Amino acid sequence: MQDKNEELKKKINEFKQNKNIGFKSNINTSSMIGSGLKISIDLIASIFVGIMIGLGMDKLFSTKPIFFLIFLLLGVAAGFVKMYRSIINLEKIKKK
Amino acid sequence: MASPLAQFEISKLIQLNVGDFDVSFTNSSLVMVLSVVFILTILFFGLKNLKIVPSKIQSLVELSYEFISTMIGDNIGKEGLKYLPFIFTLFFFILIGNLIGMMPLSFTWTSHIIVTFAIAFFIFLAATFIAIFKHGLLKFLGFFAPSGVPKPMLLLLVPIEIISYISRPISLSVRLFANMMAGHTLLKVIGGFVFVLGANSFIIGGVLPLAFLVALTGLEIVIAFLQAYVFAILTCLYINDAIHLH
Repeated sequence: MQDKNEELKKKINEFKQNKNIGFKSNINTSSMIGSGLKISIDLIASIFVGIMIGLGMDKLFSTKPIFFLIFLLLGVAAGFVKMYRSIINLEKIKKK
Repeated sequence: MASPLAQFEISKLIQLNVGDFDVSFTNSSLVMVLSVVFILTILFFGLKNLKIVPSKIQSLVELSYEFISTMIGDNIGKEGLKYLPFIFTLFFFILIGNLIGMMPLSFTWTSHIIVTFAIAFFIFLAATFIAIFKHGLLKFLGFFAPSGVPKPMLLLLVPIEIISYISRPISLSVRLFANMMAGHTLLKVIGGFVFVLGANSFIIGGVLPLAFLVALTGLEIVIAFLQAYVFAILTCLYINDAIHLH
């Protein structure tokens, strides 16, 4: 009985020491699902924002398709940059 | 049969006007209040008689706390613990909202873009202000110019960075809204199949869509969890970006 108590105390102490408020999760799969879901809509959202900025500037300076085209391309580029980054991130997590 | 989109209609329960603004209490607000009450009840009973060996409801509350704190620890680090109450609230508000929406005859407030956009835009503003207060305006603007890039390239890269920063609240809100709306519409459409096919073929025809409906309901519950999780984790990532600008 005494032995068991000692053992339990030891275990509790060990647990207390490396507790760090539950930070020691080694499960990164959950954040991988998050990144995966993120990619799809990021692309569309960036293009949408690009188009909106372009149309807004065209209306402001009444230069119809110029800014629209420029920002459409920039939006597409931004979308792909975001996608690329998310994939790099995913690879990093995978390697860990 | 009601249209599959009829379930998203807002109806006013109590008419209220403040000045020119219509602030009526709607079915959407009612479900929001219900979700808050539900969360508070669980937390209240979970934290009532604290014991070392927790009761079921206490361990539920403890597990959810641990879950969020692990999420913050993984994605932000220790300095993120300050934002735990916010992310905890956000996650459970959206989760319970999604799940209450799964109940028959109820209403899914997360399937309205204006609600999710308001939440996402607030998060966007908060992250921006955190970054500005923590690092100063200049350093925050430096966030848009990646280091180690030749100057002419900045002309192209800065707008790209700005666009991808502004697109954050939109992608955040559209993701939640689109998933919930599409899921519930699909359920309603398949539900319509059950009724129409079953009525026209002496019930036999309705069996297959009904089996489908059951499977889809399960999927929808998984999506309810996943979307709340993704929303919370992306909030963590944005706050992380704001705290450690790089």
